[in-house]
Amino acid sequence: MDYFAQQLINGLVLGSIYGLIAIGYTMVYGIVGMINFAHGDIFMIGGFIALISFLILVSFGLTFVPVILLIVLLVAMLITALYGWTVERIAYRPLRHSFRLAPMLSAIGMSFVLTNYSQIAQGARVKPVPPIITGGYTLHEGVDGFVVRLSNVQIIVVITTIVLLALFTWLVARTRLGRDMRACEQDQTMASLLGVDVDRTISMTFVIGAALAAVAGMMYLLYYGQVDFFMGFVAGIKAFTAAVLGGIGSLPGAMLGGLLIGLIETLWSAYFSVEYKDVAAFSILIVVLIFMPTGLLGRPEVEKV
Amino acid sequence: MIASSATPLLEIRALRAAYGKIEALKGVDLAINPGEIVALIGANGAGKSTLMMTVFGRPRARSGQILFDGNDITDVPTHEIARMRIAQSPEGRRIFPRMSVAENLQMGADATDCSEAERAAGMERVLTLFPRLKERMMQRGGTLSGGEQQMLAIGRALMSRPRLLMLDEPSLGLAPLIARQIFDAIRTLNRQDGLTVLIVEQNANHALRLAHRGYVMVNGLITLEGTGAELLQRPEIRAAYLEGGRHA
Repeated sequence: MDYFAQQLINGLVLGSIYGLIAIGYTMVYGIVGMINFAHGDIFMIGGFIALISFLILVSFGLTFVPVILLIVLLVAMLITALYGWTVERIAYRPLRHSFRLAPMLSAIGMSFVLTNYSQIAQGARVKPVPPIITGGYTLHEGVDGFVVRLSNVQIIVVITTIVLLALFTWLVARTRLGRDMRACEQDQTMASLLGVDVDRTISMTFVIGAALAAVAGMMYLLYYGQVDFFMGFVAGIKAFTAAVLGGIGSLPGAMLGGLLIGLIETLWSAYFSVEYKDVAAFSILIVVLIFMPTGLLGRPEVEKV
Repeated sequence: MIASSATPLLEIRALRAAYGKIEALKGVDLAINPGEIVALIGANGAGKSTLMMTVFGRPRARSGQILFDGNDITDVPTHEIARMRIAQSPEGRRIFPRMSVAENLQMGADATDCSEAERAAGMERVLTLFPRLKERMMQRGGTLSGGEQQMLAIGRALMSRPRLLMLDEPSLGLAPLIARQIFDAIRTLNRQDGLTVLIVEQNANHALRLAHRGYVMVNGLITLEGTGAELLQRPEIRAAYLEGGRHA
């Protein structure tokens, strides 16, 4: 039971990171009907920018951790958002009225560009950082000596995710930008007839998605203590799986899918074998899609008109 | 009645537009004066809806000119045209199905930068015209009946406090009673607020009785023009659009 509780905690933390990335996939899909294959690499870029800004702040002699974390968070979100904006501008917007496959190919190309650019600029080696946040709480100590721990990093990851999710939900549901985004998702032509600048709204969608991915990148850095140029690939595919599992286009679905993938992966590793954790996650995706083709919270394509 | 010397609110000159290779508008001239209701009638595929959409630049004009209040808007981006307070209730209604009725109306208000008081007044006006919408405020647009969706589409257009309201087949698929309600609402808006209206209708009889002037469109060209009463008397109109010949 203790062991299970510990794996549950680990799974939820990993799932939070997947969920933050998955939101970017699902938002972009909702508004332009395209899978942004470069989104995993945007997450990787976010991790690198967090690392670089962290090292710069430390070299300036800043040592107060909460302030460092806050500045790193803001810098990472800002610069990564700029990457997201640029990718949309140069690789997707010119192809918006082209045939359907074109922006997808261009997205895959963009993914390669970002991966290789990071490899050249930052080197191929894994970049470790010493633990920035240490300590934690012992929740329960079993008779057999097994300890259920909740580390401070885990608390920070989960709280940051919850706060961002609340902010983001508010933005989509209550603000004008959120309304414009939903309008563009449902009918771009009609949105423009009502004064919505569709291009700008799509840009903002990429910017917000990238900013959330940057947070995920920073959380990854804090949690695993390392980043590398290739980490966007697997994390991206997992998050994409999470988005599809939850129902592509659905925001709560993306978060739910992220948590599920995180849990499945962790529990499978804990009870069966680490080697097959990806197989387990993707198998469950296949099973769910066979019985629920639109994902867990996705809506059927047919609408009453 | 209407001073012909005034600058038209909307003036269309030799307008051509096409979808790919299919030319839908082949040189259309049309003018709408402030305070007028103008009806545009014609068979399916004549280019009536295209004309309305081309005013918004969707599709863009191949040649010709569109002037709104004397300003050339032929090449202005669609969303900026909307912000000049031209509103359209388009073909197929195109309400946002996964937004509440209240949010759909808010989208209309967002089209122009209006104050909170103006927004509230606009909402009040729309709900007075269409009390049915009041009961449905929190319901998703996609769950409304056809007639309610039509009311919502017109209401949404009105929320932007338009100077020119363009209605594409507002009575399409509606029960006669509801269609009459909508025509009454348009007449009221025109008389009370001086709203300028361009209305496309399959129901030529209704539209021409409502309108001050009318245009008849055939195959992308305007073939006839006159006051509503004049056009109603024309034998070729009666034969083609009024005496059961619409689908012949």
